[in-house]
Amino acid sequence: MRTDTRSNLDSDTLAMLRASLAEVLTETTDVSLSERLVALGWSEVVEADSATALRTLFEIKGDTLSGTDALGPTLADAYAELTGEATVATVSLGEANDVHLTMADGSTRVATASPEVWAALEATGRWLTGCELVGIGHHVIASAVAYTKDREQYGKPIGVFQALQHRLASAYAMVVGAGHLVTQAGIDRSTWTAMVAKCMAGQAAEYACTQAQQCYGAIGFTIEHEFPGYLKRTYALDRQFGDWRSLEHEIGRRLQADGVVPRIGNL
Amino acid sequence: MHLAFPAEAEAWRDEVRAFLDANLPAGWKGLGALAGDDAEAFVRGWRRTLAEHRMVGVTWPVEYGGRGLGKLHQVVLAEEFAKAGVPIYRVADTTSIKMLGNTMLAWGTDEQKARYMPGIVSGEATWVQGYSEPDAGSDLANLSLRAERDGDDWILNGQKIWTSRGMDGTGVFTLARTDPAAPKHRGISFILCELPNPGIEIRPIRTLTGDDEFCEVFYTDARIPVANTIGPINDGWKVANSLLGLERGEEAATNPIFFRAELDRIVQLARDSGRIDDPTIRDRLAWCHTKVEIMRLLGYRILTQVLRDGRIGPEASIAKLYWSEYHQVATNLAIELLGASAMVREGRKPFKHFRTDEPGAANSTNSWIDVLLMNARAGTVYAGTSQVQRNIIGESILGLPKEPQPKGPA
Repeated sequence: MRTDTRSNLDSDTLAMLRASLAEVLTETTDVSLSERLVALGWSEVVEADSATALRTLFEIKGDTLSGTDALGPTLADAYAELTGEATVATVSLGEANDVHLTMADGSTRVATASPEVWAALEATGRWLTGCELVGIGHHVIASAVAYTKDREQYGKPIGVFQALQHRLASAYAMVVGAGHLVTQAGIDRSTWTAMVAKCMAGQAAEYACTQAQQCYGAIGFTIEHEFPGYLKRTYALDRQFGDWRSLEHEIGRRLQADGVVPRIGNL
Repeated sequence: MHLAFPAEAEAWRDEVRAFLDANLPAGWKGLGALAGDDAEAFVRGWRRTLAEHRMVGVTWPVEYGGRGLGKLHQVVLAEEFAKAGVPIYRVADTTSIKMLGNTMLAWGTDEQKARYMPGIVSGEATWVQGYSEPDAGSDLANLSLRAERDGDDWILNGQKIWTSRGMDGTGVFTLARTDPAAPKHRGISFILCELPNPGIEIRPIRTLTGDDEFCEVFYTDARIPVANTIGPINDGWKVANSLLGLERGEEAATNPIFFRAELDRIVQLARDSGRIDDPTIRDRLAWCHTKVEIMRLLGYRILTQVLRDGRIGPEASIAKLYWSEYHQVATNLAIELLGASAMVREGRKPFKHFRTDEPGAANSTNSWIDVLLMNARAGTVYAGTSQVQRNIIGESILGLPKEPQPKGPA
């Protein structure tokens, strides 16, 4: 269903990458994600198309509800590139320009980043969190589609009812739209596109979750079901680097202040 | 619309207020102001006080522990209790009193009433509901739990699910198929299954908030006297449905009170977070305000209808859509106002006595997380999904053609 027409990676390679990443992200192990990715031949994939590689990693993370910390090491790579400081293992953003660093030796410290470095890290965080939210959105829609084909009431699968079809179709359209934005955010690497993409990804994932939950009915409220994990993860991710409503507000504020509408992508 | 209550209802209102003044602890600020354990202990004692003063089931005949008052009196009582932030009974009494008690009085024999009503009134008995099944949710009439006649007993086999507070039940009122050959709405009976019973096993289902709120109930050759059937055999669908109307009259009056109090707390959150001047927040607060006011007016309409006709029409579906869909927006707004740490649990957890957190509760994250994730998000699913409500509005009010039925026997 998803196509990556602008990637240097062909579709067979991408399919294989997705399957391998799903395995790597969900296995129980003490080996760090970075080391596991090395074993996967990650550096070649990144070299071929780093934007697609990272986007895929985070989409699969959302899809599989993996609890592996992928963002910390990825931000550390970005931090190294921006500052030349290569001994950092993970990075997370704090208040204002505070950057929380965990070094390769396990020690931690807080550094004050320049506004430019901080903005670039925030944009990377927004882009990748957006990718993860898109992965969640696609997952819950696919899972709800499967459920509505299977679950019968009134002598037929509930998926025949347009009331449910339209909910899932609207959610799908929204997630696809957000998917195009996060793809573009990986290509642009601009703070503006990252903000717009994260805003739409948060909104789309939340919408997809609420529509899917209505299709599941009561079973979607139990911990036996995978769904509550996706719902809670969505609420948590949406609040990282600005929830979608605050970002919407910020987008409006900037448009008003700057008086120009920045163009997204090279259309 | 004339919004005043009749004089006799207002006189009763004074009586209810006097009762609350006399019986609530000094300095009462609402159930939410008590810590979890204290709130639980309070409700246990409060329930006894209510039974002793005949404030449980005031519409019920005096011989069954009530006061023989009218439906409007019950509504006034619920209103005054809601304003005081104190429950009208235990959480489990929703099924025990409101559902079974009222059904029993409408359909039970004198023997059945004499046997079961005292326990329902005193609170010694806790009746839970056995309606939904794995394959009978929105399509409840499709239920397949079998009850086969064996002399003076029914032998029950099958499974129920989503039984609220099943672990606390001293009995399950169960809808069972007693005539498999009859059309699906006609072969059902309403049977009281007292617990424990060697043929009935109850297992909790853990919800996404980590609580054992629902249960599965398994019936394996469970033997129940035929005398425990409420209403005519094979007429259980009618018996069960007669009570759905009863359920709605009271909440039509109390919903706007609780939602109003909750909205006041959301406005406070907006002030505390410094976002009260944010036009997008003000816009949504205003949206919420209009919906609560609509609920209040809809509530009066529905009350008028109940009092005039003794039942509620399809308009109840409009009210259900309003409150359930409103509550998701309102709780989402509250969570957003709590900021980045909104999903980090802190403070007192709601006792789940009401749809909203208990009045008087502090604005902690825990006050909102479960209300959002469970109460509000589930509101569009339970008691008839939003889709079922829209079908009712479309077909019964607007007169739109019915959805095509599947082929084969219905």
